[in-house]
Amino acid sequence: MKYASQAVAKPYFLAAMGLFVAQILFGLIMGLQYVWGDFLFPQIPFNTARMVHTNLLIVWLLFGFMGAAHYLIPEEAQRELYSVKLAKITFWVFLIAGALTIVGYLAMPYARLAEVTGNSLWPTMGREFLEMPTITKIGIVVVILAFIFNIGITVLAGRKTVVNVILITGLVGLAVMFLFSFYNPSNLVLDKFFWWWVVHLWVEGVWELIMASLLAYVLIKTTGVDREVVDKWLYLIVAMALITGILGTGHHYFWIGTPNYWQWVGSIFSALEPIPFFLMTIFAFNMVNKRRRDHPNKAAVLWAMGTAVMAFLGAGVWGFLHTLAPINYYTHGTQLTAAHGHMAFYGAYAMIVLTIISYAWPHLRGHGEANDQRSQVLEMWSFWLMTVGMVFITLFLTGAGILQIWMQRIDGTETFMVIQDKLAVFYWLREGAGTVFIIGLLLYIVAMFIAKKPAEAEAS
Amino acid sequence: MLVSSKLKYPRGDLAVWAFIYAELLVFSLFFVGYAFARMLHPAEFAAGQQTLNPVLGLVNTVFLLTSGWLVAAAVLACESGSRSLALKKLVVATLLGLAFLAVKGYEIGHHFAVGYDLDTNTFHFLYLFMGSFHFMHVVLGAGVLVILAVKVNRGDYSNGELRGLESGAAYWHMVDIVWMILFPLVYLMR
Amino acid sequence: MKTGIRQHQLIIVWLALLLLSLIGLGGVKAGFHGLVFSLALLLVAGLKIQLIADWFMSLREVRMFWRLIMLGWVLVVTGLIAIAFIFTPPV
Repeated sequence: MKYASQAVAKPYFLAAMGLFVAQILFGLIMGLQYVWGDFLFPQIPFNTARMVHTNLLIVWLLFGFMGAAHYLIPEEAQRELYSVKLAKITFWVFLIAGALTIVGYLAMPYARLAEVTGNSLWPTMGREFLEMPTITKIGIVVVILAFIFNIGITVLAGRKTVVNVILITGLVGLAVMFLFSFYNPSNLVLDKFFWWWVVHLWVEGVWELIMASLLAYVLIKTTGVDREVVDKWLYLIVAMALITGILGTGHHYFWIGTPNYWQWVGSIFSALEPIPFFLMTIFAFNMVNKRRRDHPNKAAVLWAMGTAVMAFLGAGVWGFLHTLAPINYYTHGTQLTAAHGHMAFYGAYAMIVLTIISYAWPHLRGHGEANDQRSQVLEMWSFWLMTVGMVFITLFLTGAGILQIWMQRIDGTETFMVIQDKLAVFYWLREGAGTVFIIGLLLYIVAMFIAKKPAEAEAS
Repeated sequence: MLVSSKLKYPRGDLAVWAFIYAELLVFSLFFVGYAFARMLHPAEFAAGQQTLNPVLGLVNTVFLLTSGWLVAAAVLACESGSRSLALKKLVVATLLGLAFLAVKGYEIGHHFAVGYDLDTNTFHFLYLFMGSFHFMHVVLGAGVLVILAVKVNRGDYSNGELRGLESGAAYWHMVDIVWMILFPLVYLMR
Repeated sequence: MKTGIRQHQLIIVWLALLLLSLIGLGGVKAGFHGLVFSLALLLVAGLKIQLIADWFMSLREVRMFWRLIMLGWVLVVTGLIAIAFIFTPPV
C-alpha cells in the first residue's frame, strides 16, 4: 500500500461485507416465505423482508464502490486522499443513516415510517428499491456529494489515468441519476418512465463504468500488462455500454403506457447490451493470458475472471433472453425476471466488489501482495460455492419462470396462486442453493479474518 | 517492398474499427427490422414511401460520396506531405457534410410539418428514427473532420504517424456506408 | 507502409460511385419497380460499400481476414434484407 490514506477503505469494505450477510439472511427468509407463507408473519412480512433485502443490496454495493474508490484513487492519482477525516465522517453518516432506515423498515408499519419521517412534505416513498424515507434519500445525496468532492479533488490535483477518470465519471453519473428518485410524478406512466432513469441508467449505464474501471485496475495490478492496452479496452467497453445502454432504457418502456415505437428502440438497442459484458470477458481472459507476471494473489485473479464471465452470463445472456419485446410480452414480471436479476447483480456488481476487496485486503492488512496459501484456498472455495450457488438459484428460477409463463400466459387456464403452489419444488430447490450461497459468503468472511502474511503462515 | 505484401492491420486504430463495426451492427438491426416490418405491412410501407423525396436523397448521396472521396484524398495528400492540400480537401469535405445536414434537416422538418411523427405508424417511425439517428452520426462525423482539419493544420500528422487521421477518416466512411444502404432501402426499393 | 493507392484512382472510384447512385434514382424515375429491381438496387448498394471500403478505407491493401469481415457484414445484411423482400407479398 503506497499511500497511508488508502487504509480508509477498510471500514467501507467491512461495512459492505456485514450488510451483504444481512442482505442474504433476508433473502433466505423470503425464499422460505415463498413456500411457507406464514414464516415470521407478522413480525417480518414478505414485503418488509423484500425492502430490506433489496435496499441492503444497493447500500452494501455502494459501500463497496466507495471503499474501492478510496483504495485505488490515491494509488492511481499518485497522491494521498484529500481528507481522510471527511472519508471517515462520510462513512459513519452513511452507515448510521442506513442502519436507522433498516430499523425503520422493521420496527413499524411502512405508513407509520412515512408519517414519522415527514414523507408528506416531499413524497418519494413507496417505489420499488426507492422505499427509503425522503430524509434518507437526502442523506444519501449528502454522503455521495461529500465522497465525490473528496475523491474528485484528489484526482484533479493528481495524475489522471483512464481508470480513475472513468471511475469518477461513473460515480458522478451514479449521483446525478439518483436525483431522479426525488422526482415523483403523479401520472403513473411518467412515474415509471423516470423511475428507470435511476434503476436502468444505474445498473445498465453508469455502474458499468464503475465495474469496468475496477476490473481494469485489478487486471493492471495483477497481470502487469501495459496500461495503454488496458486503457484502449476500457474506452471500447465504456463506449459500447453507453451506446447500447442509454437508448436500451427503452426495454423498460414496452408496456407502461408509452408510445409503441419504444418496442423497436428498446428491443434493438438493448439486444446489444451484452456486448460490453462480452468485451469485458475477452478483456479479462486476454490480459491474464498476456500477463507479465504471476501475481501471488491467485484468488483475486480468479474473482476478476469469474466476474467477467458471470456478468456476461447473468446480465448479458439472461438479459438478452427476455429483452426483445415480442418475448418480453410473455415473460414480463415473472420468475424469469428474478432469475436474470439475481445472476446479473451478483455477476456484475457483487462480484466486482468481492474482487476488489480480494485484491486490496492483503494490502490493507499489511500482508503484502497476497494472503497466505490457506486463506487463499478458503477464498477460492467461497468463490465456487457462491458462484455455483447463484448459478443454481438462477437455473431453478428460470425453470420456475418458464413453467409460470406457459401456465399463466400461454396456456392460461390456471390462476396465479394455483400456479405458484405448483412451482413449490423449484422454490425449495432455490432455497437450498441459497443456503450454499450463504455458506460461501461466510467462508469469504472467515478467509478475510484468518488471513495471514504468507511468510508468517509458513513459519507457524 | 515486396509486390504481394499486405498490411497486417487495417489503417487507423483497431479500437476505432471495433467501434465502427459496432455502429454498423446497430444500424443493420434497424435495416433488417425495416425490411421485415415492410414484409408484414407492405401497403403501409408503400404508402409511406410515397411521402418521401428521393431526389433530395440523391442530392444527399452525392454530398456524402464526394465528401468521402475528399477525405480519402486528404489522407493521401497528408501522407505525401501536401499539408495545405489535405487541409483544403478536409474543409470542403466538412462543408459537404454540413450541406447534407441542411438538406436532411429540411427533409425531416418538412415531414413533421405535414403531420407525420414517430407514432403515426411503423414506416414513419422507422424513417424518422433511422434518419435522425444517422443525422446525429453525420454531426459527430463532421465534428471529427473539424478536429482532423485543425490537427492537419497544426502539423500533427507531418511526421508520418497518420493513425489518428486514418481513424477519423474511417469513421466518416462508416457514416457514408450506412447511407449507402439507408437510401436505397427506404427511398428507392419498391 | 506507404499506401499504394493513387489520387487518380480515388477520382475514378468516386465517379463510379456517383454513376451507380444515378442508376438507382434513374430506375425509379423510369418507373422500374418490383422484386428484381429491388434486389438489383441491393446488389448495387453492396458494390458501392465494397468500393468505399476497398479504396476510401484502404482495405484493399490489407490482409484477407479484415476484408472478409467487411464482406461478411455486407453479405449478411443485404442477404437478410433480400430474404425479407423476397417474402413480401405484392401490394
